[in-house]
Amino acid sequence: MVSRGLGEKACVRCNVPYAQAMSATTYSAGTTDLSESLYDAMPWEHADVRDAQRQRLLAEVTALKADGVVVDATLAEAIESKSASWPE
Amino acid sequence: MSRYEGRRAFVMDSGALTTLAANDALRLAWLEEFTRWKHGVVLIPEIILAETFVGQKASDFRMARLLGAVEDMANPGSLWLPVTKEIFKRAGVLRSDAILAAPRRQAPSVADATVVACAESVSFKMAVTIFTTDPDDLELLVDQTRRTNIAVDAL
Repeated sequence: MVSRGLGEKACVRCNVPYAQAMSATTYSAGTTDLSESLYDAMPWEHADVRDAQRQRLLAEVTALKADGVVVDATLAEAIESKSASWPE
Repeated sequence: MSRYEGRRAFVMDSGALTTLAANDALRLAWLEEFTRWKHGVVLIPEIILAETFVGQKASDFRMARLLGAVEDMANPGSLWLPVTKEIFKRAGVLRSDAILAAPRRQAPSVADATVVACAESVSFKMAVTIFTTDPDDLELLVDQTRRTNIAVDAL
């Protein structure tokens, strides 16, 4: 099997080649502006890809609950308080 | 704006994934939290695969189940953060800066530095929370990025 290099891959959602996105990369040591980078062409930049993952996560939540898994209220509160402090 | 409205990436290191895979209640709690972020997404740096599969049937099965909830099996690779040469170079710079910043500490691992380099790249697009079981090293590395929208949290 011949493996494909990263430059030959493309976004599974819009088919933009990673190489095309990488050509706009201006990164060098000391420069951290990667805004025009490989990640502009990544699948998760698309809202529908994120939504699809959210649906899978919800399905796993439902499956765990169906298996009888429960979350202690103290744990749920601890997680809630953690996320409240994350910077935007 | 409610925090559940903003875009946010949840980046996992190997310790976080291993912990979530092994603990059903913790996994349920965190997966519920992730789903509350309407515009959130769970992203996994490719490099952590080398630390999460161990060749033991039960452990690997649980890891595969967790990854299956994250990844679209019809589009393999869609939720992975690729590790490019640029990311590796950036990881090297961050690791070196971290060593200089805390010379008496044990140097952060290459894997940790790579996770942070991936997270830094994502942070130009959206806020990031890195989940880890080693918050001290990850925070030291994040400090070197000087990004203000990256949180580090222990599960």
